[in-house]
Amino acid sequence: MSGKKYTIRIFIACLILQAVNASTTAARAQGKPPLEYQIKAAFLFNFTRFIHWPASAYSSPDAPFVIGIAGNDPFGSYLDDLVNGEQAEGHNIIIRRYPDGGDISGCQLLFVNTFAPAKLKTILSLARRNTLTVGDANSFVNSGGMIRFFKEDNRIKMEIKLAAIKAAKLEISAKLLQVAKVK
Amino acid sequence: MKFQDSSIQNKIMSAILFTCTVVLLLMSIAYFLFEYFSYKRTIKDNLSTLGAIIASNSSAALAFDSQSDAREILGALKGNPHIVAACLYDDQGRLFATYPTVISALQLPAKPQPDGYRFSNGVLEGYEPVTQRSDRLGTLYIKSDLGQMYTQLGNLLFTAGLLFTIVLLIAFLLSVLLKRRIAKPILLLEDTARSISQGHDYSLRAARASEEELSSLTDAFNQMLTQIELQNQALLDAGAENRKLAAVVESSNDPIISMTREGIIISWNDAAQRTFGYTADELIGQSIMKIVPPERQQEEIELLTRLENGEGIEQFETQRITKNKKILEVSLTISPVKDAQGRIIGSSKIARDISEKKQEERRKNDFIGMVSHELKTPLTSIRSYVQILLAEAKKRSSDAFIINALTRADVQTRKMSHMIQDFLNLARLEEGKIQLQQNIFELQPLIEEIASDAQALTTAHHIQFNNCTGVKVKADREKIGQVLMNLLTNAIKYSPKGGDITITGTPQTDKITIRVADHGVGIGATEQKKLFQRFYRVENEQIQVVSGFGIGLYLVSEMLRYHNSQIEVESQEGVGSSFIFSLNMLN
Repeated sequence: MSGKKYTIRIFIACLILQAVNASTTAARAQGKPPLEYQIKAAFLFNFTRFIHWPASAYSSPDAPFVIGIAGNDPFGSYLDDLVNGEQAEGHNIIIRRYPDGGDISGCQLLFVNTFAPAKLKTILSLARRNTLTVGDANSFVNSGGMIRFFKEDNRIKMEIKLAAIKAAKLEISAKLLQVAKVK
Repeated sequence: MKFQDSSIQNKIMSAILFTCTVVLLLMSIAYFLFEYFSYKRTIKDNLSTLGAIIASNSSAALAFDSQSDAREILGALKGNPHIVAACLYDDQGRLFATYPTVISALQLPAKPQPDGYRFSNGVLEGYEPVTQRSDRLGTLYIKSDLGQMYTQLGNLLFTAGLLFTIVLLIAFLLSVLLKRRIAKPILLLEDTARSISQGHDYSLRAARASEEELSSLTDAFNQMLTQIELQNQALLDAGAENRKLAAVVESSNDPIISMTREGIIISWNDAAQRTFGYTADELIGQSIMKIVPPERQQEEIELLTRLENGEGIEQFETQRITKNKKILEVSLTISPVKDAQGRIIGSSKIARDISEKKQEERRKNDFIGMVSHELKTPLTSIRSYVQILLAEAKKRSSDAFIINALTRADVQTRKMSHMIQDFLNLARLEEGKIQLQQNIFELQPLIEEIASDAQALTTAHHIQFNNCTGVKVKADREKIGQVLMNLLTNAIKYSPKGGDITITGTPQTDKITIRVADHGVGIGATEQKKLFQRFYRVENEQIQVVSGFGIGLYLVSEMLRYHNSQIEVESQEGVGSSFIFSLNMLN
């Protein structure tokens, strides 16, 4: 069910991205994030399918899989709806928001919506060892982040810092690497 | 030329080639089918493996919306030239990427079908689910042509055809060699059979072949020939025998007629034609009644009935009528004719014309009657004078010699008068003039009288009789007296050494059995049967000197027959004879 949910959204998002540039306004009017963030939300969820977290990433075997959002939340309730009832490697997925930083160490996946390099570095340094960090900022990877979203030919693409992922003891599927730009 | 009409060699060859062809065809079809299904399964397995790999590799491209990556992954299918089309659908069934990149959407299914691989319209199509960690992300469609399979099957057909041709060629060569070997003994049999049918030489035999069944066949054929030869010889012999018999029948002086059980004439010899005046053509197929006078037809029916019971009839005297309505006296000898199973199918009849013999007999009887009658008158007078002389001689106590001589003369004249009486009776019997004078009389006085008369004829024998006083019989007293007298004189004649002769009367409920027994020479078993025939005289060394004409017992038998009685004999050679008859007794 969940797969269906996100693929529909990706598909719709793609169509709209390719067809309409002024779609942001329309999406907002419907209480949804811009299409770009709908796609990114889906990608965030999809990372849980292609990446394996070690057992040490969880405080306990029944601990939830936490997707943290540091900084402003660009997804609204969209991401909550997307992961509602879903699991990642047997752990229930929950969303936590950290608008002002704070203790981000409990996250397995952290989306950093901060573009200021100083703040970015601060947040990334706070992230736990087994946390997959994802961000939009151009300097994200250079600042110690693992996966960066960028736009190319009107599509959302990914840049992956493999060394950082390996350092975090995360296992990433080769198939994911195949569709991403690996640094 | 039809198969049935072709030579055995061709049949054998055809059989071998036909068998080979059928076996090869069946084997080829079986192998081809096996290979066909095997190839199909292999192709399906290969395609599904390929599909699974492509589907697995496509999951990230679908998940992260990378159509270029998806196209690249599908592009790997170029390595297999038989993959004609492929595409990826998202899990909503919308086309995501195609292979080849530029392809008409019409060549691809608008929507994915249920998962699995299927042959349809000469292609193999498959739908493979694209999943990542048990989540379905979309569907891979992949289509392969069957060119590979057809190429393989084509190669197979070519190889099979080649093998087929080679094997048939070898089979043909072998059958050419084998047919001669198999057919040779059969052809030899055929040659023998043809030689026999052309030359009628049943002594020919077929050469034995080495093969088991064929030598059995040859043996059976030769055995059959042996049987045919034997039967042929038997037939020839029987034919010769038949011709001999036919010649005998035809040359016979007596009419010989054969007929069916119903009395329909089926053969008629020359003598029959001469005797009855009818030709064979006139009578064959006609009833025997045509030559039987009306008053004798009932008798003929009785004869036929006796034949039905298997009884033969000998010297049955009757009458027949000729074509010219002349009555013939005939003596018939009729024998039943039986088939191989012993069933009576008809009869053969020999009819001897005894008309002349009968006439002769009649003349003879007349003569005997006349002579007897003429002799009787002087003899009676001689006998009277002898008796008077004897009485006078005894009264005057004359010379013992004279008394003795006269006594002998008396005995001889008595014998002579008995003989003449017998002849007279015989003549009457033959003429059918004899008539019974039946009276009721006491048996005892008659026995005493006859015994006394008989005793007078002999001194060497002692005639005894038991007491039958009170027994009355109804019969012709004179004839019964003659019966007794003949039996006693016979007993005396055939007991040359003398001894007792006994007459024993044994009354039963309504009959009295009279037995005359002697201790004479006896009669052999074969002679006993003929004893009562006219003029029959027993041949015996001891009694060659005994006088007689052989009419005594005949008369006894005939006279008793007139009394509805019959004479029986019990005898043993060297021990003696007993003659037995019975008479109706009145209580």
